[in-house]
Amino acid sequence: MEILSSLATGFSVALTPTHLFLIFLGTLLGTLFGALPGLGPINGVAILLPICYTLGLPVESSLIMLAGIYYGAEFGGRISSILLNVPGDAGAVFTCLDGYPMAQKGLAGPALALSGVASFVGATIAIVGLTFFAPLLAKVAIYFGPSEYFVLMIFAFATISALMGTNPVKSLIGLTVGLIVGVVGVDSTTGVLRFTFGEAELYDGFEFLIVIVGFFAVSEIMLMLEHHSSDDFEMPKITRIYITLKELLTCKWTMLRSSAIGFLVGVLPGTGASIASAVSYTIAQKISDKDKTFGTGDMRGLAAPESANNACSGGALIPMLTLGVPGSGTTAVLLGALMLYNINPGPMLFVEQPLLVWGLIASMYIGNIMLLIMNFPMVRVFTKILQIPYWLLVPSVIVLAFVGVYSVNMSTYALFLTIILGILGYFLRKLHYPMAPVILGFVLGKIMEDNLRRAFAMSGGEVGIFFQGSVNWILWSLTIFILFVPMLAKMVVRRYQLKR
Amino acid sequence: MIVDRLFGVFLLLLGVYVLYGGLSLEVPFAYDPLGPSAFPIGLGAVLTVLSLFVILKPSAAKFPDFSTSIKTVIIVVLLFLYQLSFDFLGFIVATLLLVFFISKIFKGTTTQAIGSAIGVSLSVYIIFSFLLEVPLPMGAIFKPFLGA
Amino acid sequence: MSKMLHFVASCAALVVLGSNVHAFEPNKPLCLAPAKPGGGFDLTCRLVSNSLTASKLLDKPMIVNFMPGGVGAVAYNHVIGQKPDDANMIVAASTGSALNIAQGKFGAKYSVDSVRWLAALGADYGAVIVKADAKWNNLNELVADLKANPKGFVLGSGGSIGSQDWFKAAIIAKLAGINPKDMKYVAFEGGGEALTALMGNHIQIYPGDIAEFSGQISSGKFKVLALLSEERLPGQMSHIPTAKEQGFDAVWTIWRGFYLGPKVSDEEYDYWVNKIKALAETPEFKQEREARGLYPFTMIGKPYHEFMQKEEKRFKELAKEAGLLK
Repeated sequence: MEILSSLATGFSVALTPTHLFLIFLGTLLGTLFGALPGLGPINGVAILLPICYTLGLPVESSLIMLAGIYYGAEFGGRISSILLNVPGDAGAVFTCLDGYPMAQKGLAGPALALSGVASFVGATIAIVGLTFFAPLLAKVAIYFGPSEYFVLMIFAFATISALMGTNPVKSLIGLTVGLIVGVVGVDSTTGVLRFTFGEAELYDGFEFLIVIVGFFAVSEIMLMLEHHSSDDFEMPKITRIYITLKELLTCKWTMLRSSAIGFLVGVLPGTGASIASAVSYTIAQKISDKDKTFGTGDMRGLAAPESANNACSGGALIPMLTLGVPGSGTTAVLLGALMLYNINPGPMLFVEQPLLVWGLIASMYIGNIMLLIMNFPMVRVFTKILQIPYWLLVPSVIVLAFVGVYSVNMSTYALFLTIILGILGYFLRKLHYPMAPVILGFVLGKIMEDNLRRAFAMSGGEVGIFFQGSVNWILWSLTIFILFVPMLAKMVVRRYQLKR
Repeated sequence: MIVDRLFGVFLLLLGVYVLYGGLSLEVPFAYDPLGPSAFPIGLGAVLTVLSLFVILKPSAAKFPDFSTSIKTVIIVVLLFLYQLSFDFLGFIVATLLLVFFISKIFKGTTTQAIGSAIGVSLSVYIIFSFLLEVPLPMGAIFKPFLGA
Repeated sequence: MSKMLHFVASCAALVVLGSNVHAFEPNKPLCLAPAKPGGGFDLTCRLVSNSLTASKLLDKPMIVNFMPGGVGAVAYNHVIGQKPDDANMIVAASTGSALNIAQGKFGAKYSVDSVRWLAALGADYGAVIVKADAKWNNLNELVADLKANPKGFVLGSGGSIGSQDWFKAAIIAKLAGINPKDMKYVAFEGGGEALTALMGNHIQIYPGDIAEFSGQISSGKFKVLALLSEERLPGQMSHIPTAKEQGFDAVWTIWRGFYLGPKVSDEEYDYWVNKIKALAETPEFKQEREARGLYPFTMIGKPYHEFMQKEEKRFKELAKEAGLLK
């Protein structure tokens, strides 16, 4: 009850005309930031924060708008994935897998509409979770030490073994290449530089944006040239704009499940939308892909990552609001925003700044409804992107993506790295190396290595640390479950069929 | 087939390089038994072994015809030139050139290419420099004309 | 030919004259934060840019740009290599930057003399933080326990071996007679992760920074056993004893300052020195410094540059002692 009355106070903050306008503006700008390849929520929040501050907006107004940009961008990240096969940000890589094939089949409209609904479901479930379970989940996050994170990564790798596809050798090579790209940079334990070639720009390793733009945008453009040059080239047709209720309902369990996964992954600091969408995609594939339609434009394959990455962005707010610890790059910027306003984020935020926190939570309910409503008229506008002729579209995409990369640290060296990765990506894709393991290796590798070594540093090299504590045991059980249950299920089904 | 095999050789070299790089890392000391070199060594070894499979048993891949391949190479060269000239020519001029040529490669007419070049470079410049306060380089060669 | 020469010469004269008539004034003042938005360098830049505007010392707003990478290595290389004479730009730095320069991590060929140090404008101090329900109530008890059982407790903070976070841990280890190489130390990505690990009892001792930690003080989940400052701090920290008054010679100051490019002229350098000197006296600046949780630590112009040379020497010795440099 106490929660409900707090939430009611929150709505009284969020429902003023100014704040409604700021929510609208934030979510709209966020959608645009997310939609542009190379620009993501971090850029959006980082760029608008100083503007809010200079305009003299009070802290709750700024935060409401900045958070709008954050989840708006998560919402918009799918657009270029679906239409151009170029992910707008990290969480949207898995949206490409089934979203782009749908657009190719002429179903760009339904794909956009469905992903909008899936995003809404994910985000809303996350906010409800945030409203009711924030303090509880903050306690769970504390139980995660290095050994638990390491076992969690083992679990993540186990779930994505389903992504290994038809050619296990090439999938494993992809994974290894991703892991190797992730190794570059200063070693976070010893400070030793690994594979940096003396370049200061490489000290922090490959920026995520460089990897995404290189592997996906640059190589995509090289591939587009090929389709474009072939004689039977045709613009993908748009057969219809709207999605049917029946189609939505086939995805309902996928959406709910993926939202829960995404939310829980988001709660853990240091993980992120890419892991959430990867895990939920592969779990959806394991459960639902009976006809092997995933990867060819299956609606559930689109709904899963979209629900998950939006739920994740809501979940990531929990460690930020309850512990004062950022759960992702973007929440780190939001934390910085609070500090700019002289509010010290920490465990006392809920107590000391109830209006701010509950106003923010309430604004997210409103913002997500706005996004859902905006989604439908915008589908029509965005599908028009497909009709832009390539002589304008391709250079625009490449320039936007490059400027996004450049703006990370004002360096043309970053552009150089992007092109190199683009060439590598082109060959990997041309030679049928699946890209999903590459990205996952890159994302998970560093977390896995760091936590493995942290755990060893704590235990003095004892392996036993990975089997201490209930969290570890739960994670090991889940890992075994996910690896063997599908196999067992298959055996049971086969036996059953034999009997008949 | 041949491309797959050549790429396999590239991966093999990469694996050996990573393996070698991992072995030659020097650490004053580390708090864990693995240290910073264990991961690179392991990854290098795995990649080396896996790439042998590809080299021995390459699969067929369809590469585009000669003229398209040339165009792909041209795009890569254009991107490198863009990167190299970005600070020197400045964002606007470098982008004008890049957009014009890419536009031409994607079968735009000269008018369309010029239009895209001007439109894209100016609009991106305005959005980033003025609205988003991301400073894009004006170009070192124009410095004397613009004042310090 | 001679006509042309004459023309060139008069142009040059004009330029020289021009620059004499108009004393230097930045046309696009900029503070470069060598990190991602939201971090300590961001706040360091905002400290100056906000108070310069508020005190009306600068009529143009100073914008803040970001150049993350290698705790400042990318920015250091960028300034020296590409913008050595850009007098519009000041760059944020801290104790961590000096440590990295001393260890050659900003480039083997660079030293503190590779740039012009402008001013330090505030400081934060190291603090020994443990969980509220830990058995220790002061630094003596902790050090005694560590001595008795050197491998029994895990120290953890937000930086790799050789970073300023690590040095604080090394100082504590040395108090207990433990060689920093033999302590149990875990490096996290930033102080926030380390603090969470402390909450979950994955680590037992967190050598952190007090200003960064101030948001957590009222939560009652932690206690600060000692401050690594020369004297007690004012305000809400005044009840926390220093390590010195508990009988340990352990001080760790994290100053926050700025530098300019190496080829910035004396005139331009002096312009900034005078601006910052004036700024440091304004109430707007003092208010802003307090709001950022920083403590007074002001050193401007030449004295600061000399201080930096001493810091570099001191850190080189520390690094050698720890076995990080040969």
